[in-house]
Amino acid sequence: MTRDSLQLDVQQLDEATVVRLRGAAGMYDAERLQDRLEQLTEADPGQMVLDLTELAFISSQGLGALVAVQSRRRRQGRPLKLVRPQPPVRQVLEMTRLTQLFPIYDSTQAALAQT
Amino acid sequence: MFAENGGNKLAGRVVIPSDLRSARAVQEEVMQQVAGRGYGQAAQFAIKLALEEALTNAIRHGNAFDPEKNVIVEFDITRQRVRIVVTDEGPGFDPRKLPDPTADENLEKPCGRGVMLINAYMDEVRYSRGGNRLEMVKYRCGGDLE
Repeated sequence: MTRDSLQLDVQQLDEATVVRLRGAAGMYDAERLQDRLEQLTEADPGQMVLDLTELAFISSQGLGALVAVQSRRRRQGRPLKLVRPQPPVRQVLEMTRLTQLFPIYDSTQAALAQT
Repeated sequence: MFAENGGNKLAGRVVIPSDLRSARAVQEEVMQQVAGRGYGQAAQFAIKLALEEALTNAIRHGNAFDPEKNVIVEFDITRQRVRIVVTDEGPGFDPRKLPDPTADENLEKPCGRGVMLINAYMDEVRYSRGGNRLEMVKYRCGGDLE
């Protein structure tokens, strides 16, 4: 398992913000994750894609951060899109039925192509 | 923190204050020992998740971050199973009364998801002392052997 730390790499494209999450989205980083995603939402109300390819762990606190941001973005008509969650993280999303809130795609290109 | 018993069993008891930094330190230490006992990635993920949920609930909802209150973490780790007990000093709760976090109307609410994940990922889960004490066990599966 990876150590409990979360890295966010932000890539600003013309039509979207792509945020790559690396490491663990757990109790210690959930608040920072939510704050950062909300900042990015305020700075650019366009599309936002979260690339979860390198996210090794997520807990209810990390999920809560994503849900809080998603609730706001859904009201704005620009829901967060998730890309490539790895099997353990995907299983958590499915078990909690949060797949009902978050559209999931196989690639960033596929996510951006879907408006 | 840890005491070896005949080379088979690793047991420990630690008392931490109600803050997330202390919780993370315990979590990392326990998970190092779990990995050292040869548990596979799936079991490590499950144990790490359940321990984090238990610690978060104890600190956040149980002790409400009260610096005067502690959380006790007890564990014993063998090659066959991992047993963890987390006890807080809060008012307790009845896990049966939590709303179903997977119901459509609750998906956007923050309540109950942690308890649900503990139940889903651990093999045995028992609450006692009015909900202040949580005991959970994860058994090694054949596929976990590394």
